[in-house]
Amino acid sequence: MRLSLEKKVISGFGFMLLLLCLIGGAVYQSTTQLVRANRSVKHTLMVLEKLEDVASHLKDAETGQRGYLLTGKVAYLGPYRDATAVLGQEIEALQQLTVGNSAQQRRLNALEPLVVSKLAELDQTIDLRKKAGFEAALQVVLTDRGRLLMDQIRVLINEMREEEKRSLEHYSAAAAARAQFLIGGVALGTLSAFTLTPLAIFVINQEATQRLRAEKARLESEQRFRRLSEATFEAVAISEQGRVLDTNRSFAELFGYEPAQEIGMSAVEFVVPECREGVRQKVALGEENPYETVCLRKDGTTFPAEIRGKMLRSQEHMVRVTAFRDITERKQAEEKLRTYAANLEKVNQELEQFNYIAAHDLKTPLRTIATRMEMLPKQLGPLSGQAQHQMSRILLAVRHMDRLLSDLLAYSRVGTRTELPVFTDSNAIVQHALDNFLNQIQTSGAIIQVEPNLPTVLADPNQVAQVLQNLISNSIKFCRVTPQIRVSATCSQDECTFCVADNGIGIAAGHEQRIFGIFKRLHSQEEYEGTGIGLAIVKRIIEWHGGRTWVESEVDKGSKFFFTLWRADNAGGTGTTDRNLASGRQLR
Amino acid sequence: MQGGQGQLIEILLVDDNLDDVEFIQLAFYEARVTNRIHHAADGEAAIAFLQDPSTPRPDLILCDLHMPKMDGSEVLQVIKHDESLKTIPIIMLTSTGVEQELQIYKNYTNCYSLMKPVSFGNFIQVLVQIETLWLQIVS
Repeated sequence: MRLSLEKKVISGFGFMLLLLCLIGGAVYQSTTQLVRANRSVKHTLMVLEKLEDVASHLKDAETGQRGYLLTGKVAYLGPYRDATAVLGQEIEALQQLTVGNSAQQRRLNALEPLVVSKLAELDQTIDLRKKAGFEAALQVVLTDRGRLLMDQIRVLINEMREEEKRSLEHYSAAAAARAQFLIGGVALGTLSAFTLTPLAIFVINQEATQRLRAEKARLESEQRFRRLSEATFEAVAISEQGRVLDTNRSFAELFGYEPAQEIGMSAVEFVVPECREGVRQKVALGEENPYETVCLRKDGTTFPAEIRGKMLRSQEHMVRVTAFRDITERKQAEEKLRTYAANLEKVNQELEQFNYIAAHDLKTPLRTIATRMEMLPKQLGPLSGQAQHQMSRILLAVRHMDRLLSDLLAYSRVGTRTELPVFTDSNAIVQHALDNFLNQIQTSGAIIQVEPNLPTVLADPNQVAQVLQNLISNSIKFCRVTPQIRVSATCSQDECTFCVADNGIGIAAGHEQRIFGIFKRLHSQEEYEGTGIGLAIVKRIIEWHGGRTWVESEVDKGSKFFFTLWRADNAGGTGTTDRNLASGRQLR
Repeated sequence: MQGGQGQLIEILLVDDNLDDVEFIQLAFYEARVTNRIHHAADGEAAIAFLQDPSTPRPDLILCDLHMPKMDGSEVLQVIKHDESLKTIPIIMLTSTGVEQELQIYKNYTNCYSLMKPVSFGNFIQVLVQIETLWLQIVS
């Protein structure tokens, strides 16, 4: 978890404060206890002093008594009187000092009568000495009562002294411990303060530096973005929840605003009202693909635009960066292209119509000429050989012209009004082509061999049948022996190469390309009749299918005509023939 | 050509090209087919003929495609949308063969197309084809 600086500072200082409070509390506590311990020590010392006083005064009193008893001099009674005068007070003082200590009180209570008795004994002996003389007093002393009392007193005082000494030791030790603790506490507090403060300063400094660096980086990135957006030709706007946050100079220029004037405006205000709903939906769906719309300038003029928007995260906000591009020129170019294409289409249609009408209208008179030329000999009666020759030459010319017109028409129609290529079984196409000119095949006696299991291809069946028909009829035509023709196909992954091979006259080297050109012929009409359009049609049809045509040939040996078509059964491999496909299933 | 009861059938030939009309009539003659052939010079005349109660209802219509005013495909449309006429078989005659590719013929029943030949001999062949077609239709 990452804490903010404020939290870090507060918790850090809080911790330090707590630590200081704890240390302060402990020090206060210890100091109080130390003071109390010191007071107890002082008190004990006072008790001991008083005990010493009592013992000392008793001794003084006894010494005074003895001196007097021995000498009879009144001077010895001075210390005795002094001592007895204070003893009572001292015992009372001791009683007050030991209030709360029951053991000492008990001993004091025992001590007091003993002291009274001792003083009474002293007083008695002094009185006897004074009145009855030394001997009488000695008799009393010799009873040892005074000594015994004194012994008892000494024992009690010693006990009390011992007790007080024990207390003294206890309190002294406690005071020493407290003092030790106090020193430790203060040292710990100081140490903590000395350690934590630099640590806190370090952490705060670190954090502040990081912040400064991040802020600097952010500013730099912002500046970089701004420079970038200023440098780009595209108008760029940044919006958040449909409101413009920022734009670049190009944007202001494109929409005719003063820089920064558009900030805060609703983003859809830059689009004409009728397009706003659509744009809103695209923005709501987060559309990132470019789309076209119509934009609105400040002065109310409009222009077609391409818009591309993208949602981006910026400092925990989602903003939309949108680029606008004026596509007026593109639109105009598109429109121009459309018009051009439409015109071209129209011209094409007109040309096609022209071809058709021309062929039709040219054929009609030809038919009349041919038919009437045929009928004429009947009306004329028998004709000379020369006249018959003329007539037959005219008829030949007319029929040739008719064929030319048909072929030209067929050539011009390749790729104009054809079906789209479909999956086509080429076995069926070959069969269809052969059926179309069965008569010619039978007349020529040609042997036509078709390889079984030809592939399925993408083709317009009628057109490809036309190709095969043209190639096979060429093979039959350009042959001096019995034509032997073989139709085969080989397939690669994508395309199939068909081959129509014959045993005909072949084509001289160097003419392989020429023969596919329109009206290009290698022989005269007298040698081999033809229009020179058949192979041109083949080439045009195959090229329309996206294929290629070529020929391999050897003069007097034969020719191999090749053409390629897109393969349609490459999933099944060569040789599979699906009869359903032969019916021509539409591809699209 | 004969109908079901052995009568000769009525044929309506619609063509503006008088040469072709002549050839077809001659071909019928040469082939010794003696059916009654009615001629209409264009589409409008053909429709008028078909709608005239005083004229016989043809059993077969031969119709050229290219004609002034109303062309062959329009004639076809009118006939095939007329309840009383749509059962009459029609053979469309074309000059170029291109029309054969047009879908229009495939949309109608009893509608065929034949290419006009370039020689008279072939006209007679065409007549044979017409007869074959006719036999197909009546059977």
